[in-house]
Order: sequence, then structure tokens, then C-alpha cells
Amino acid sequence: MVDWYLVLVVLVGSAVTLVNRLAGHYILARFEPIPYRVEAALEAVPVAVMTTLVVPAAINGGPAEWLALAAAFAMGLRLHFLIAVFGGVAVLLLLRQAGL
Amino acid sequence: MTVSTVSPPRTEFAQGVRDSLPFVPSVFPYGLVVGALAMKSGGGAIETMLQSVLFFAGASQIVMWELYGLSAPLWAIALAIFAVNFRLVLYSAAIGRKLEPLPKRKMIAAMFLLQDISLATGLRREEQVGQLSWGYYMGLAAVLYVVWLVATAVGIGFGALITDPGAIGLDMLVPIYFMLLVMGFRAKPNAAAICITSALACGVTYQTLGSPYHIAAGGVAGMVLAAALAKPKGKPG
Repeated sequence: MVDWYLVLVVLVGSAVTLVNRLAGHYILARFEPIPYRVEAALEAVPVAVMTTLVVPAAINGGPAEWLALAAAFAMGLRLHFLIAVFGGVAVLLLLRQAGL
Repeated sequence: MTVSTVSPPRTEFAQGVRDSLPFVPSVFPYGLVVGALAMKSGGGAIETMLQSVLFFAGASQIVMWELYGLSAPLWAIALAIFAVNFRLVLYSAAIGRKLEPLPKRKMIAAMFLLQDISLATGLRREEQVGQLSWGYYMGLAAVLYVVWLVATAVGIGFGALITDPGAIGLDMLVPIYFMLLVMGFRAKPNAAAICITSALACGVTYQTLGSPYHIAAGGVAGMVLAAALAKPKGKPG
């Protein structure tokens, strides 16, 4: 059975998401030429926003999570992206096994 | 219009596909988690697949299931999704200018498939090659989209088996992965200052107003700092 209210939630949510995806290019980008400060702000978006996807985990985490993030950071400076990702997770699991 | 095609479209597409592959092992578990989480929040297989087909935006999909599970009103769910996905407005403005000139239909398709990895990898491609072709971008984004759908389906199927995502570290996979994506931008001007400013604004907001406002707060703070520190370019335009 399909839950029609849930389908509505999905449709509304996806419409909102598509608006987000189109608004930047079709509204924000209408302002040409883009002033250099706006340009710098846009260049900063990936760093500024993706950082916020990390912070709650760091706040909610304990020593195991902090050390895993630190280990992944250290590995990320030298090693391949994926090795650092799974290395960080591996450190986390080891620390959790150890009871941290 | 400048025509400075780096390689034929098919080669560009293949290169996009190649550059997407390192991300497949990190996208897959994420989709798996979304599928499994949806099952636990009272979603059916059809609604969950429909969500992945139409959203293709993991963080907001997780937020939707959390709020749906809490019986939040539709407007609140829509607002939370908008806030979580507000970064896509900024991504869209950032990458739309870097993509080669495209007819409207292709541009809308490109924007529909836009998410964190296609932004980061697309921008890096533009920086390295001096151009971001439609072929490269679609090769990159299409692989991730298909992987997302397959992972969601598998997550739906095996959702019941993951009783504790923490036991296999899935709860930290996403933050670790975003942290490393951020690190990929460390050569950019003022990247460290922007990151720290964003983290502080995000942390304070997270502890006061709470989720999902911390995303917009951190994003805006980092952008404001970048704008404040910016210096005019030597060349016009």
C-alpha cells in the first residue's frame, strides 16, 4: 500500500530541493558582472557549508569520535582521500572496541 | 562564446565517470543508511525509492525521515529541507558560472543532479583544465545518481539488518567524509580562516537555535568572512 500523505511529503520536499538547485543559477547568477566580494563569498561556499556537516558530529561525539576525526585529518594531509575516510572509520571502530 | 574544447564529449564523459569512481564507496553506504533509516521511520519501499529518485540529497532525506518519524507538520518538514539544502542555492550559483554554456534543458538536468561531490569535483576540474564540460559533469553526476538509487534499494532491502549503525561506524562516515572534502580546498585563499569561522558560527548556532539552522549560520559566516577578506582582481571582469 502506498501512503499518499507520505508521497505528498516526498513531492513537496523534492520540489523545495529543486527550487534550491535552480535558484542559485537562475536568480543569483543574473547579477552580472559579479562583484569580487560576492565572487569570493561564492568561492567560499564549499568550505563554509561542508564544514557545518562536520561540526555537529564533533560536538555530539566523545573521545573516540574526536580521535577518529583527528586521525582522518592527519591521514588526509598525506594519503588518498578514500584511504583517509576509511582509515578514520577504522580508528573509530578500534577505539569503540577499546571502550572509548 | 569561446569554444575551447579540451577533448571530444565522449572522452570528457569517460573522464567524469572515472573521477566519480573514488566516491562510489563513500556514496554507497550513505544511500544504504538513508534506505535503512527510511524503513525504520515508517517509510514504504515505494515512497523511499521515490524520495531518492526525486531528492538525490542525502542529508535532507535523513532530515525528512527524522521529522516524519516525529509527526512534524508538512510545512515544518518543507522548511527544514529547504534549510538543509540551502547550500544547493550557493552551489548552483557557483557551478552554473563554471559550466560551459548550455541550453536550458541541459542546464536544468545538470542542476537537478547537483550535490556536494559534483560541486567539489566539478570546480576542481574547472580549476585544473580551465573548463567544465557538460560531458564531464554528467559522467560524474550520473554515476553518483545511479549509485545513490542502487544503494537506496539495497538499504531498503537490508535495512532491518543494520540494527545499530554505530557498531560499524556509519554514524561517523558522513562527517569524516565531509571533513576530507573540505580539506581538498585547503590551497584556496583564506580557506583555513573561512573553515574556522564557519565552524564557530555553526557550533554556536547548533547549541542555541539547533538543527538545521547551524548549516545556514556556518555557511553565511564563512561567506561573509571570505567577502570581507577578498581583494579586487588585477584584471577587469
